[in-house]
Amino acid sequence: MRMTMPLGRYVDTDSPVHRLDPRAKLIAMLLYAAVVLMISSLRGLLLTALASAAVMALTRVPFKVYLRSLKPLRWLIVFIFLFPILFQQGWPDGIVQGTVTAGRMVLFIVFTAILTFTTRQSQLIQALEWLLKPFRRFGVSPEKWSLMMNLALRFIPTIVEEAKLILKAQASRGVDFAERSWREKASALITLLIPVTANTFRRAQELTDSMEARGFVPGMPRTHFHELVWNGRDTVFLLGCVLFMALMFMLRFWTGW
Amino acid sequence: MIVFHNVTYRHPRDEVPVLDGISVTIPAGQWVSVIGPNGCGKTTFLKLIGGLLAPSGGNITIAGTMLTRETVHDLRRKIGIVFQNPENQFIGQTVADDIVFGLENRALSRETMRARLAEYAEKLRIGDLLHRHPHTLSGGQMQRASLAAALAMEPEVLLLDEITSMLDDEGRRSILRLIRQLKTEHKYTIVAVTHEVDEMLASDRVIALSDGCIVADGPPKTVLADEALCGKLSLRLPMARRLALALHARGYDVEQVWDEKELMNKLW
Amino acid sequence: MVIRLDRVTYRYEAGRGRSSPPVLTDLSQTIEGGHFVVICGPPGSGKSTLLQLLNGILIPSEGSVSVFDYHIQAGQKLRRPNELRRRVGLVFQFPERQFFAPTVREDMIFGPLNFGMTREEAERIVTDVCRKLGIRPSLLDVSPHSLSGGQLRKAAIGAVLAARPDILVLDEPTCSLDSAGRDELLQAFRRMCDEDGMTVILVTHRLEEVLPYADEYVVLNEGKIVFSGDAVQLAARAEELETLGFAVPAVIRLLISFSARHGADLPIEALGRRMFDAGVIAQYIDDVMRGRDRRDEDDDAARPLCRYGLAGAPA
Repeated sequence: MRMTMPLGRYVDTDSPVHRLDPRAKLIAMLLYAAVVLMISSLRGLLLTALASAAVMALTRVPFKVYLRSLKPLRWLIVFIFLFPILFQQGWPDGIVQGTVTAGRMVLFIVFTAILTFTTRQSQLIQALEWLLKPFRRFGVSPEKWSLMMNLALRFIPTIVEEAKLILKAQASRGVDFAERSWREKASALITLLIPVTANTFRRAQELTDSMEARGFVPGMPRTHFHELVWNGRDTVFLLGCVLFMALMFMLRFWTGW
Repeated sequence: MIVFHNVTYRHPRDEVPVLDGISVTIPAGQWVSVIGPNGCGKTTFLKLIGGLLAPSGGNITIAGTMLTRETVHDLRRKIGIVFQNPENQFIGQTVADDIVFGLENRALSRETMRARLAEYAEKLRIGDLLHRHPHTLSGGQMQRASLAAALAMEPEVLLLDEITSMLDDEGRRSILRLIRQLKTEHKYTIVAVTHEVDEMLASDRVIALSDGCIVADGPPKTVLADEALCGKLSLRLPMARRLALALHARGYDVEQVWDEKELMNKLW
Repeated sequence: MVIRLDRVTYRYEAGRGRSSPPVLTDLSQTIEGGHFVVICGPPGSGKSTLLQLLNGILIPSEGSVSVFDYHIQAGQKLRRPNELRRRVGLVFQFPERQFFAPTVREDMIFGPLNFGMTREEAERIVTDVCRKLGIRPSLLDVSPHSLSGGQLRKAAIGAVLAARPDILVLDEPTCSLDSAGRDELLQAFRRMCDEDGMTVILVTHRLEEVLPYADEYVVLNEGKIVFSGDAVQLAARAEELETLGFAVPAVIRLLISFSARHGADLPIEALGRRMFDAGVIAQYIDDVMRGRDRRDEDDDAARPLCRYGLAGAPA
């Protein structure tokens, strides 16, 4: 029974956003990042927040789940809010600056959450693989990257579980991981790292056998079970994002908002 | 189906061979149990058939074709392997992804993949597990999924490397039931490394390896009747059989009995 | 009594004020010193969690655990955990996966050194442990990776034994070993109980293989203890336990079936642990079949004991 951070978890509510092509969502993410970076006023912040709220509502994921994704970074957000007030423009001018900067961070985290809540990890990786394709001429192998990412996501929970077990086993043998001295802390850490690394190599060897046995040959053409199908609604969504971005761009640079 | 001609295998830097001059023929459709103490070369034997290792001497023929670096990729189509550790052979992030991995490697069409996935998920009764991450599965469930993945590639030969040794009793029994059922439905050639006497008894033939050589080869009841061999390999016969032998020594006519119910009936 | 569990409930911390369903519920059990205790039950019944409560790796959510004079109360922090961990040696499943030292010897003396022994003492104990477990001394100075499966498992268990615990707790110690390896280990544990007064507690799925060795059985199901007692009592309640998904050992099935058909009493009380010996059962069956059971009625007291090989008489 492991608990992942809400930020990384897929939430299955079968909304229109879930059904969007992951490539569209990924590109939207990049565009959104550009928009967020451009925000410099409360009005810009509000507009973007409204647009984001609209998308959030469409995902049918409860609002408090999004709030939970902010929880791990809440103190950082508070600090970023207070920073201009304390160290830059002071009170009360700093409030605007603080709100805008903290607001940008919140929006960014929330949009990342939208992406991860509505897209299965394997789909995200497939989208990334597709996005990497133009970089083949630079020697990048999109298939290798996507295989690596898939294997990492497959095995990270298992390896973490194993590490926890080894921690318990070494503690049972008298290792005190709360040692005060650095030297003792380091030697305690070795009793964890060496077995986990050795076991990971052994896993890799067995994994390779399994892949080879099932006909995997790196570089040979293979089909994909999951296909990414681009629909009309993906184009509409992306156009909407581009338009929004253009709107923000105009507001920022032409009207000084 | 599978023929070993005087096969020897040694690790790259070792003098002592793991397998020494093994010659054996396994006909199509036979279920062979390979037994022996740990380190006797059982897993090596299996890996040689699967083309994961190349022999240091001698050669291996599968379905009439000799296994070489050139032919291994094609011959692998005929062979499905399930390994001992349920975790480390599971590649996909979900059960469905893992089953189709091999099919993707064969560049099959999506329709074919979908059909095979449905068919074998049904056969191995893992339909409700298809979208689960392996981390949430028990060992027995993972092994059933790995069996499904191997079978979905529609091999003729199944190589099973102690697939139940890391499972609990219930997991073991359900896998054994499954294999028995599959064997009756389809003429797979099965080569299974095992320590379990009940798996041996369910198979057609038992080959015992020791120190790289074959020390026994025959039907399970014949091989297991060899007390010296059982002692050497620490094989404990099922209680019903031991009881039958002890009663036979006291004059009861139960010498050929292996089954519990049959034993009780004979004593009635 | 060396271990006492008093109304222990354990649940994982779910955080956010929510409570997850308990893994163990209201467990009470005592374990006597020098006994070989087997804990079994279906997967998910809480066996591994129970083991980790015995050496303080996990602390009960409710209730308390007492080991010798060390007391663990729910909600309290553990004081000086190593005091407890030296006396209770916990071996996790697949213990060989924890090896980190360059040689087997280094790994085996690690525990004793942590618990305050000197190097000379530790080395001496390691030699003794190797003898007890049947590990060849020549294997001590090689890398763990060059050991075979069975030897590796023994070395890993030896690493915990080297700290000289009074109680040895093991989670499926025979898992994935070959038949010879399993027998060797179980016999070694039995010897440690008999000769050194060690208390051995092990979790296993394979009931058949521990029947000749164990003194006591604790069966868990969904976090509760559904049975606690010796083999004789286990056999008596076999059918009831079967409905809980518990696999009744073949010998018990055979005895119940035979006794029912022939109207003979179950000889479980008389046979005790010897009932898992095929020769002894065959003798009993023979007796019943030839009616000897009914003939010597006046010889009641002595008969069961001599006939079935107990009280010193050969079987």
